[in-house]
Formats: sequence, C-alpha cells, structure tokens
Amino acid sequence: MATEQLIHLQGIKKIFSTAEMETSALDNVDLAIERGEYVSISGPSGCGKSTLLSVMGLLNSSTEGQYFLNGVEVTGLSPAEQARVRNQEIGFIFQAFNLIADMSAFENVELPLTYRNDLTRSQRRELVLEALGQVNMTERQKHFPSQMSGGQQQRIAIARALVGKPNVLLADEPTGNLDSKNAQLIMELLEALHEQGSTIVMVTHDPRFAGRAGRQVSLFDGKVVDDRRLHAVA
Amino acid sequence: MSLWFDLKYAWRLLRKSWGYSLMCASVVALSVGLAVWTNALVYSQAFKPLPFPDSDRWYSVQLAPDASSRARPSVDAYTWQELLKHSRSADHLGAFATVPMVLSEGEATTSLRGGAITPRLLAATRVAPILGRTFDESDGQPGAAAVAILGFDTWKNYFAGDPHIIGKTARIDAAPVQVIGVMPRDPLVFDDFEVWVPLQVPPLARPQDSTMTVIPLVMVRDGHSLEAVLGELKGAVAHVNGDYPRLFNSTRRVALYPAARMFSHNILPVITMMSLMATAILLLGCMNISMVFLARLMERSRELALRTALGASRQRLMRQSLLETALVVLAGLVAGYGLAFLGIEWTHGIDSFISRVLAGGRSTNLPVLRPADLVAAVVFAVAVWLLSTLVPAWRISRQDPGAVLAGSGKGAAVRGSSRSVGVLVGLQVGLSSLVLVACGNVVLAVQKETSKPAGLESAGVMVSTYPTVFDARFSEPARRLRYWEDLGAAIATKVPGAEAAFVTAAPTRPARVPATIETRQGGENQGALTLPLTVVSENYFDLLSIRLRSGRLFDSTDNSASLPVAIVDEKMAARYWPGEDVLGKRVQLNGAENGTWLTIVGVVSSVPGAAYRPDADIGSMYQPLRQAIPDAFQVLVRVPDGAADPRDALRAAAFSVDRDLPLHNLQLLGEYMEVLELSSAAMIPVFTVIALITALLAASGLFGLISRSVAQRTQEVGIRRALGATTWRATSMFLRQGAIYLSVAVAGLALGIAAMPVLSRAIPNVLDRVVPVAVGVVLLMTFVISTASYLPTRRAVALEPGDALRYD
Repeated sequence: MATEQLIHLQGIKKIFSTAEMETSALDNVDLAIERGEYVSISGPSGCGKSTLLSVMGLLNSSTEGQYFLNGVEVTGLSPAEQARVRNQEIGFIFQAFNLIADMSAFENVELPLTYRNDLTRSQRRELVLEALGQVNMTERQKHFPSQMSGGQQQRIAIARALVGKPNVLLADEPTGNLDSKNAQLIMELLEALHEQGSTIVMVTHDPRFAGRAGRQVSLFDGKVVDDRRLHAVA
Repeated sequence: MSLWFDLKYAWRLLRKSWGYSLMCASVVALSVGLAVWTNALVYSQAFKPLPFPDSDRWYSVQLAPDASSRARPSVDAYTWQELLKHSRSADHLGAFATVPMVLSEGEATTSLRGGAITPRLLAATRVAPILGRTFDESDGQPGAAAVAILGFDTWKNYFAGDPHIIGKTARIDAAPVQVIGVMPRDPLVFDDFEVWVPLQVPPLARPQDSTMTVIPLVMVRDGHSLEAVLGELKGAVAHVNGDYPRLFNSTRRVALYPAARMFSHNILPVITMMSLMATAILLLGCMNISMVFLARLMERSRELALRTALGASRQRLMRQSLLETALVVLAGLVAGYGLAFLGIEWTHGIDSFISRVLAGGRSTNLPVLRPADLVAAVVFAVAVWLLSTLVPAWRISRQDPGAVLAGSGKGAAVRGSSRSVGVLVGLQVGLSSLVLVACGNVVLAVQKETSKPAGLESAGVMVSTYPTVFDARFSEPARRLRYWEDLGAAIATKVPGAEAAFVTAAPTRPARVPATIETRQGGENQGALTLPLTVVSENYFDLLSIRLRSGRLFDSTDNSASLPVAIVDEKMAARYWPGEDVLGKRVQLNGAENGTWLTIVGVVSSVPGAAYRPDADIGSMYQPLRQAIPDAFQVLVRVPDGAADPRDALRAAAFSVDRDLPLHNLQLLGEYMEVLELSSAAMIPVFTVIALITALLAASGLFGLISRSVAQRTQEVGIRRALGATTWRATSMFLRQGAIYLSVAVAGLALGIAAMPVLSRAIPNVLDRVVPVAVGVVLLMTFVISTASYLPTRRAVALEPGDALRYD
C-alpha cells in the first residue's frame, strides 16, 4: 500500500530561555508521520510531549530544525499563514476540552469555520451538522457546555476538531479529564475516526491508551527514545 | 458572515456581564459627553466666526484702564474720536453702542434694544437689509434727518410686517424717525438689536465731555499687517493718556481681539481649562476602560488561546476584541451625545434666564450641537475605543497559546503587565490629582466670590435694568426734578404702598468717574484715579436697607443750593482714609477741570457688587440726586409684601407722567443681581461635575488597576510567605507601592497648582483656597489609594500560602 508522508520533523529543537537559564524541551527530534497513521506520544512528565504537539500544531515555533506539513515547510510561515494552516489542516483536541462556555455546542463547532472566508452560512451549517453527527451529538447542538457531561463536552471538542476536515488531529491527553467510562468512549471514537481515514497524533501518559495506537513514540528528556509501529497504517 | 457570528457572541458576552458593560458604557458616556459639550462651548466662544464675509479680518478694539486690568470692549467717546483721527491703515474703523430706545405708537410705548452704529459699519459687514438700505455717511452727519433700520422681529411685531414700511415714519425716543430699512432675522450682526440708528458722536473737546461709551471694531485691510493698525491705535491712546494724565493712567493700553471673541476673550482661559480637563477625563476614561478590557481579556485568555489554536489570526482576535468593545462604546457614544445635548440645553436654560432678565435678545454665541459635534463625538468615541482596546487586544493576541492551553499560561501573557499597570496607575493618579485640584480651586474660589453677602435687601424690589434717558425737553434741571417727583407720586398711586428711588446705576454696577482725593496737604494728584460713583435719591439707602455707619444720609436739603456732599461706603473709607475720620473729607470730581468738590457727610455699609467686579475692592461713593441732576436714571421700587406683579402698574405710572420716558425692562432686583453673578456662578456646577466625574473615574479606575496589580502578585505573596515573610511584611509590600502612587498624586497636585495662575485673569481669587483644596485632594487620593491597595492586599494575605501559590 502506498504511503504518503504528512508530517516530517527534522532536527527539531525547542529551547525555552529565561534571563538566567535555558531549558531544552525538545532536542533534535526527527519524526515522520504518514497520512492515516494513529500515533501516540508518551513519556514521563516534562519529557516534551506537549511541546512536541504544540510545535506540530504551530502553537509554538521550534528553535531549530525543519517542519514539513503535507510536503510544505511550515517553519518559517508568517503568523497569518500559520493561522490558516492551523485552521484548515490541523484539528486540536485538548485535555480540558476548551469549549467556550458562552457558545452553544453548535457555535463551538462552527467557530473554526468562521475563521474561513470561503464558506457560506449554509455550508458552515452543513459541515457542523456533519461533524456533530460523526460524534453522535446532533441532538445536543443547542446545549451549552455547562449543560453537558465531560464526555459529551469532549465529543463536541472532537467535532470541532473534525469540522474543518483537517489533515491531522492532534490530541493532547484527550481522556485526561474524563472518568474511565467516558475515556473509553472517547478512545473508541478516535479509533473509529482513524478507521475512517483520519490521521491522529495523540499525547498520552496512559500506557493502556498509548497501546491502542498503531504507532507508539516515546520521549525522554526531549528526545525520541523509542518509535514502534504496532499495526499497519490504515 | 463570520462578522455576524462574532457580533452575536460579543452581544451575548455583554448581556451576560451587564454590570461591566453598563460601567464601561457609563465611563464612555461621561467622557464623550463632557468632551462634546466642551467642544461645542469652545467653538461657540472661541472659534465661531461672525456671520458675515471676511469676518476674520474684523477685530474688537479694547482698552485696559491700566497695566494690570483686563481689556474691555467699551471705549469712551473722546478716545474713540482720537482713534478715528489716528487710524490710517485700517480698511474700516467703526463702532456701535447699545442704547435703549422707546418706540411709541398711539397709546402704546415699547422699550427696544437699540443699536447706535457708525453709518458705514453695517455696509462694511456686507449684511444686506431685506428691505430698503443701510445707513450711509450722510445719515450720521449732525442735523441729518433721523432715520432708523428696524430689526426683523420689530418689523413683524410692531409694524405687522408691512412690506411698504420703507419711507414711513415711526416715533422713536419721542421724535419722528424715518424707516429706511429692515434687517434680516438672521444672521445676528454684533447683537440682537431691535432697532438700528446712526451713531452720532458730536466733536468733543475734552474727555470730560464724553457722555457715552462705544464698542469699536476695526477691519484690517486684506493682506495688511495687524501690527500696523495696532501701532496707530496705540499711538492714539498714548496721545490721549499723555494729554490727560489726571484722567487716564499712563499705562492705559489698547488691545485687539478677533471680533468673534469680542465679549468672550476674558473667559477663554476658563474655557481652555475646561477643554483640557475634558481631554484629561477622556484620557482617564480610556485608561479605565483599557484596564477593564485587559482584565476581561485576561480572564478569557484560555478562550482566546483556543481561538488561536483553531486558526484565528492575530487580526481576527483583535477584531473580535474590537467588536466586543465597539458595542460598549457605541452605547456610550449614544448616551454621551445625549448627555452633551442635556448640557447644551442646560446652557440654553441659563442663557434664556439671563436674556429674560436683561432683555438681551438672542445670543450671538450660544453653543449648539452641530453636525461637526456629532462627528467629534464619533471621533472621541473611536479614540476611546481604539486607545482602550488596541493595547489590551494586541497584548492578548501575543500570548503563547500553547502555554495557556496547557494550563501553564498564567502570567505568560502578561509579561511586563505589572510595569504597564504601574505606569497606568501613576498616570491616572497624577492626572486625577491635577484635574481635582484645578476644579477644587475654581469651585471654592467662585463659591467664595459669589456667596458674599449682598449688603442690601433686594426682596420685593424692582429695578429698571436700563437707564431712561431724558430728551431735549428735559434740559432744565428743575424739569427733571419735577419729573422724578411726579413719577414717584404716580408710582405710589398706581401701586399703593410702593416707594420709588432713583439712581444712575443698579446697586452693584456703579460707573467710575475721574476723581481727586483731598489729603491733609490739600489737593493731590492721585494719578488718574477713578472712583465708582452712583447718584441716588435720598431714600435710596433706606429702600435697600443699606446701613448708616457714621455721619448722616442724604435728605431733601441736599440740593443745588447747598454744599455739595457725598457719602462713601466703609470699604472706600478704609481704603483711602485708613484709620481716619472720613467725615468732612473732600473728593473732587473731574479734578483736572476744577470739578465740584464733594464733602463726605456719611459712611454706609458696603455693597460688594457682582462677582469679580473690577472695582469691587475700591468700594462706592454716592452723590445726591438733587445735586447731580443726571440726564438718565434707573428706578428702584420697593413694593409691599403680597402685591401682585407690579410691572404693568409701574409702566402705566411712567406712561401717565410722560409717554416717551418709559421704564426699561423692569425686573426683580434679586433676579437681576443673580444674573449678574450667573456667568461666574455657572462655573460652580460645571467644575463640580467635572470634579465628580474625575473622582469617580479615579476611584473606580484606581481600585480596578491596583486590585488587578495586587491580584497578579498573589502568587508572589504566597512564595514570600512560604519563605517566611510575615503578614505585615507582605502587606507592606503593597502599601509601599501605594506610597509611591501617593507621591505621584502630590506631583500632579503641584502641577495643577502651578497651572492655576493661567486662570487668574478670569478668576482673580483662584488660589484663595489653595491650601484646603490641596489638603482635600491629598486626603481623597490617600483614601482612594489606600483603600484600593489595602482591600485586595488583605484578601491576598488572608489566603493560606499554599492557596496563594495555586492562585489563578
């Protein structure tokens, strides 16, 4: 089966500097992720998992190295271009859901689409309903975050990540704030999305969930210390 | 489409926190409203051009009686005559004078606001009459046929808008006058005159012969220098000063002011100060809202980071922030414009009261809200909007979304914000102190000046506010004396129980006459001394309850056959004869020309007069009516308690004595005196409101800013306490900061006091209460700063150190 490289990190370093000292969060990370892969990134606290995800998501820039997303180097993009890439090519799922409390579920999912200028209102509506349908939350579209359980909120957050049909979903401890039952449901949802062709990169410290990904990348002190494929790329 | 999405969300946020929205909108409304109102006021007083072509080439010629006095637009007729002789470079030099006139028609007599104007002045303004013609040179020649131009309302009201009025005769001031023109209702040229006549000033051989003052105006030739005109006029005044050193101070000087600011240039410092204060309040408002917005955005830093993660560009984040604040600012703009409208209405109310009491007609420089003011309101609001939003929005858009979303963003987005808060608090404290000290000084100084005891009993007294001028039929003194006796009797008949007194000036507005005070060594040159002198009938003092301090009052034996006498008030006695018995001392009127020596026979209590009257500290001198026999008079009538409005009866009494000598504009003396105070007294509510707004903004802003600053350091408190700092040590950290702010307040206060002398031209006693004001402002700022510092500090130190360390 032909594969296509979606993410390619080359020699990525990330150093946080203060007046007194420098801390290396990522140290010469090389990582290539193919379209359709389901990758988990794990490691102890402070190993650089979230920083790596932030660099992949263009939330942080790297100090050194090159980052190719979908074959295009995105390291030196302008802030506006980076915003466009985040909006159209990347979907984020956060541990704390990060839904906006004063927006309904529908509006939360619609939010990233409002940052695009190429969609009409009816097109946006169609996409939102489709995304809500993918996470089985259509009936909750008018609800506000405070009216939903944690698991439901995370489903809405996943719908929001999916709605722009991104090339990759970046999930940062997506089950970290959930009880085991809801965590299980979210993992099943991610797996289902992966089976439908989504590329997923998930940071987790839970070995049970890391083991459900097709590929496990382990970090330690900002370096990739292990990279194992457990299943073939979908 | 996404704009609507953002707008909807912004609206929802504002509705959710309506208290915050209301507070911010109120700050915008107060700031913008005050700025717009001040803007309209400044325009009307300082920039509004006169309503005729090339009005920027017109200047008001004003005289200051000495080096330290303010210039005033009225000039004695002799000096005016000399100005005319010396003027070469001006395109036109003209003058007008306000003279009450009497229009008689059948059995009716009406007082009119008359304007006597040099014949070519109207033509020079190029304001054309709607009917007939303006005056020409021949109309002003001695012996020329009497002609008049009617004001529009006079033509409509008294001549039924007769289209064939030109050439017809009207009876004005007891003589037939031919109507030659009708002026348009608008524009108002110089003043709202009801009838215009040519100004005739007969050639005067000496200043003492001046019986009138005029208001001169000069038109500078296009492209010519103002200095050349001024030089010629200065030469003329210096010439007169030199010729009559005993009448005029050698430092009497001429000044030119743009004609549009003829009557307002003296209050320009006050208006400028108000304008600066309005700007300061606008800035304070910006700072307040800016910090509130920043605090609000910081609370939502996670949401904004999320938006970044979802692909919102920095511009989109800023747009979202700007949209949210735009709604608040829009509400504030509407309310602010409404407040400005109310301010303008209040101003009109005052003007309307003044106009009614003084019968002054419409004002030429009444502030109105123009389309430009709406534009200004929008500009102010946009300025508030951008100044208060852009910085917070920019700061928040630069936060590190990764860190914020990972939950460790606390403080990451506000690097350097403590310093910003410190600078903002400092600015707010300094600016607030400056404005408060300025307002406090103005309010207390004006309040002190306007709350002086009147020195007379005005209740139940009516006054004719303009003099009734005897015409040629009354050239004989005996005829005038008989007229006053007849009028007094007629008044007593028409209004039973009423008593009339006759004066040459209202009690608080005496005219000044050249005089010499006799000293022990005999007559001595006092150096162009002028003294306030009022000619009064003998019952004047009793009628107004002015108390006799020593000597005697006038009586009917003080007549032309007896020793010329005078009464001075205690202020004048103390000023010119300190520690001496003033009775028997003498004052010579028009000393240079061997004028009459008056012997002082009595001392009475002083009448302070209107606020900021230039001669208020000199006191007053009185001369008996039967000796001075003036050619014009005003009447004071005390009516019995409970009597109906006596105006009609008083007019009928005057009409019954002589139909051509009506009493002009009868008003209650109390209201009249109130009006004379009003231009000063109106400053009290204006500056009080400014001070209250400032105090409110300062209190809310400082509390918000300092609270935020303390809250940001809550973790630091936890760390310090974890390291062993006591509660007091932690508290003192913030109190020290408060002390620094207080020192900035003192600096602002000092700056405000240093700026006060600018106002002394309009408010000479502006620094009278500087110490209590300064202490008051320091106490207020101390209270605000210490409360704003202490309360949040108490909350911060009350937390367990562990809680403080986790504080978000």
